[in-house]
Amino acid sequence: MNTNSAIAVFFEEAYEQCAVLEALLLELHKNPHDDDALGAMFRSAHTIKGSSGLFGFDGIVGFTHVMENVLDRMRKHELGGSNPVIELLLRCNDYLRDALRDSELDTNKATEIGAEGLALMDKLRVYATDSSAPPRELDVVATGSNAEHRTLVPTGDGDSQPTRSDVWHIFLRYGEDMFRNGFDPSTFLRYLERLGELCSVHTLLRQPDVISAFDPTECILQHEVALRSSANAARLQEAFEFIADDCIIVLLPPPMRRYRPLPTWRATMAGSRSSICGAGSSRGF
Amino acid sequence: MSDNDGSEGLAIKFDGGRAQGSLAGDLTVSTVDAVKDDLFSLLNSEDITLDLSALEEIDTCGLQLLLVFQQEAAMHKRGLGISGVPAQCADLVNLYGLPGFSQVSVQESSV
Repeated sequence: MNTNSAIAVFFEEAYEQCAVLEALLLELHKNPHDDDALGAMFRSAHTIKGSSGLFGFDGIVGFTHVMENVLDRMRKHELGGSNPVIELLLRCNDYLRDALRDSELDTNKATEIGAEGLALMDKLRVYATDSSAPPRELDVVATGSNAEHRTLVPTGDGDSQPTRSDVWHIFLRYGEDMFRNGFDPSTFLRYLERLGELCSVHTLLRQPDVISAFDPTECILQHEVALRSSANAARLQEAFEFIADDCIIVLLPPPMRRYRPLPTWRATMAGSRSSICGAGSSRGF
Repeated sequence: MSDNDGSEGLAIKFDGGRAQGSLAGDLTVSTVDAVKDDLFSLLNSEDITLDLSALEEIDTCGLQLLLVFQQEAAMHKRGLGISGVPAQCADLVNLYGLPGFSQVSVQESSV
């Protein structure tokens, strides 16, 4: 698969996370103190934010960041799951789904937040971290004359986004036969560890719809890895050469994290189901 | 070898309303098929404990099954305590950034 396929997977899974979030929010009406649900809701928003960031979809990142902040406060019991909060989060989730759909049709939209989104964010911020907290990592700046759409520009150190210039972001969606073919994702992460420092590893699980139909030998895991390393793209690709046929692997050097269909990106495994996508050139940034 | 008479797979006991599962031997790509149905049958109970102390070998495929089980338990609002996480499993959990895997067993590793 190529980068576009990886993005298609991103959208597919972001919709799934929205559905999970919606179901949990509706459940929360019945039991506002359900810690498992509160934790899962936070993770859904966090997952969407994390994968959006990987593709430079800063509008989605900015919006889910505020949702995540509110959900984080709820799971820490700093904020109760009152009906107005739940109603607002449901509306935000609706907006997020619409924004994802718009972005899927036109990825430029993913870097923006529409007027409705901004209004919802203002409402959310009432419940977000109080004003004594450090400034937000994202600033909203107006672009265009009517400022109906604004672009989010990352300005500071995100807690989950190391800003050192040698941090690679690596998105690994393993093929379903990974385990059956005798591979174990830990092997690849340990290999990466030898090339640098694993700043963060985020594990995502595609929860099966029907457990009785779930084949436990099928790999449903994926990883998002931040690796601080001076290795170049070719060196990193070597780590995955044995699984490149069956996996979606995206390597993003930091200066190129904002997604663009760069001509230097290329599929290295022509004709196979998937490929390694990465910067074709070495990092000269 | 294990302290579980060399038995393999999942042993289940019931204590009142609580289901106590104990996994022994290997939980790997070769054994997950055999364990899966029994493991998910634990979800018929409201309150579940899962003891991993007799596990000898676990790979990512085995861990994945436990993660699916854990999420399924959460979805069905089951109480689930995972204990006796072996070092090999804890290594994988740490590598994968899964700090919430077993709050119950944290006291053993005194994190």
